[in-house]
Amino acid sequence: MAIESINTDLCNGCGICVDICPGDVFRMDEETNKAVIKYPRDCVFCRFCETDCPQDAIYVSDTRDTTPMPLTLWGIGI
Amino acid sequence: MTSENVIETDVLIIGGGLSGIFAAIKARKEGVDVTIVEKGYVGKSGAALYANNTSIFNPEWGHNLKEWMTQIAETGDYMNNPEMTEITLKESYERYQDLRSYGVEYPKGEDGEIIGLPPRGVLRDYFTGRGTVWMPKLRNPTLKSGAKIMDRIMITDLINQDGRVVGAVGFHTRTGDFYVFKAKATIVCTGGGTLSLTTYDGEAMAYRAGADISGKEFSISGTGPFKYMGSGYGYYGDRKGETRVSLEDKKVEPMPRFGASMFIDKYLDSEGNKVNRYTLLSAVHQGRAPFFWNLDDATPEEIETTLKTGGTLDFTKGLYQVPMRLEMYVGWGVHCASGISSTDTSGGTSLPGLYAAGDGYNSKAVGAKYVHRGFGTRNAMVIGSRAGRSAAEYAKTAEKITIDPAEITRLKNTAYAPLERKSGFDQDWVTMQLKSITFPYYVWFVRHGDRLKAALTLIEFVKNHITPMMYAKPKDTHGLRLAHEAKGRVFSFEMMLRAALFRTESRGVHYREDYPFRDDPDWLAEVKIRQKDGEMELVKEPFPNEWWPDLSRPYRERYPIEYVGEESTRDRD
Repeated sequence: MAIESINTDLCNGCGICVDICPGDVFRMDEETNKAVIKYPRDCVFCRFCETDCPQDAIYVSDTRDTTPMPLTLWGIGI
Repeated sequence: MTSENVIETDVLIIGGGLSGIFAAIKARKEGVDVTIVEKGYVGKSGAALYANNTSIFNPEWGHNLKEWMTQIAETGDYMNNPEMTEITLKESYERYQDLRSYGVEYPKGEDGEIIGLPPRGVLRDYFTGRGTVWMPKLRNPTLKSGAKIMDRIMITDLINQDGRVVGAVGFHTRTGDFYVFKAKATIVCTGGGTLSLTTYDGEAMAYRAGADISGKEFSISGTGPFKYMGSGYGYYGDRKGETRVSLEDKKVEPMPRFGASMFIDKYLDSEGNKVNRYTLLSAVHQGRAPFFWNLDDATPEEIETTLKTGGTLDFTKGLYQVPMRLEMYVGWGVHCASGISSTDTSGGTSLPGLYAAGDGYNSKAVGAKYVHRGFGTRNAMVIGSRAGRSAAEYAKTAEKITIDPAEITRLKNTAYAPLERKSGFDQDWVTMQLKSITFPYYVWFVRHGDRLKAALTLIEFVKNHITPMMYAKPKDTHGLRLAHEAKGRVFSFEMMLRAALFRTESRGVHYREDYPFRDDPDWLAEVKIRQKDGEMELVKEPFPNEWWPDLSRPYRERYPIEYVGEESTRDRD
């Protein structure tokens, strides 16, 4: 579902992903000094984190979870 | 607990996307102090991240100005300002050269030239590579210009002092600190609304500060209820199945924009009758949904990509039921035809001290229907640049700013209110209400006065009763941002419904079942929305005659694209 995981073995705590994410998905964990995915639902699927991570620690999947809608647009099931 | 920071600057730019970046760089050239504020990270934000193309006009490439102007005016049903349109065309090549000087080189084809994408009529656009690849390159030029970048600050309100915009307030989305910006000129470059990357922040703010908003009735629909060719802006499915292009390899892979697009001409209804994709909505309205794609000619790759869009595959029939999802783009205004209302061709608005550019600005560079690819990026650069220069000129001679501290306190309380609340309604629920009320095709796309009034009644209730009791979820600065975005959305959607109700005709993507025809010359006009005594007031302002189509041309020639139901109206000639 879009942003999936950060490999904590690879993460070096540089904070780049935290700085650049448009959806404000990441935070630095002050105890481990590594990045964490805090707000995964707000991932906009731009893949900057994955591309810019110098350690290649971040995995963004190919599918995006859209907020479930209780109502269909067209009167038929999605 | 939270600290309060006061920053004084000559030109404040709210939003660090494509239009904001160009505004900042050009404003700095005038020698003024420039601060650009962005709730994300400048160079990695905004709708341009998803852009793949820019339309460039260049007579040396065989482009004819009159032909381009005519097509733009006709496509938009004459809702554009021809002077603004001409400027965006004529200044596009210089902005393209600016991009190159900033280190953005468009990918070149085998012939060594930039890649022209298939034309629509005479209009041309050129492949830029995905925005996520080239937008980040603009951060350094912005810094080098001497503009001060302040990331992770979300502006919540403009400051209006005695009828002049003198700055803005906001909060840091990480520390929660409060910021007051005192600016001689402010440029709103916050973008339009796509429910994810851009979230209607600017126009709601501008409306509250007393600025005019216009063009809200021209919000993008899916396929329009048109009988013949031409449509609004059709998106099907969601963004799965895209391929990306690497600038390094200079490989240009065909990019099915959405997994579904290759089947776009193969719709069938359950009787097996062909459905024209341009009249999809009409077919839905007639009760012919669901629709299917015939997979007879599909390759395994196409099937795999299609599967990712999340529909159901029925191999026994060789048919694939079409997933109908337009969530991402419903409500987005036609680029440059919806948002803060323009009063000139250089980013001016109805409020002194306030300028705007980008998707959130109704520059009237185009009309009531999306014209072609690449207009959004092009106009963001052209008008952003002009707004930067205008704002800088104004700032040079603007009077000293004094701000009433009581007003700052009021705006500060508004900014933090969702965090102060412990209960009420969360923004997810508010957004869901919004979608439930406005998204049904019979409200949003196939419009009718009765249904618009019904939806408006509910939206007003949400605005008046629900949003004042919105609390931040999660209960932190991230949730605070989401709460403010939801609040802006409610305003924006209310404006869209009101404008759609007010314009009693059909034009461009605005289709009224109860008025299924263009009403010239009565509605060769702009619908402006402004705040009056705490309520939304709507006015119709006729366009200058110079913008009008030739009324001596027969109606059907003036408007070759016919609406469903148009033929049954009174004799239109």
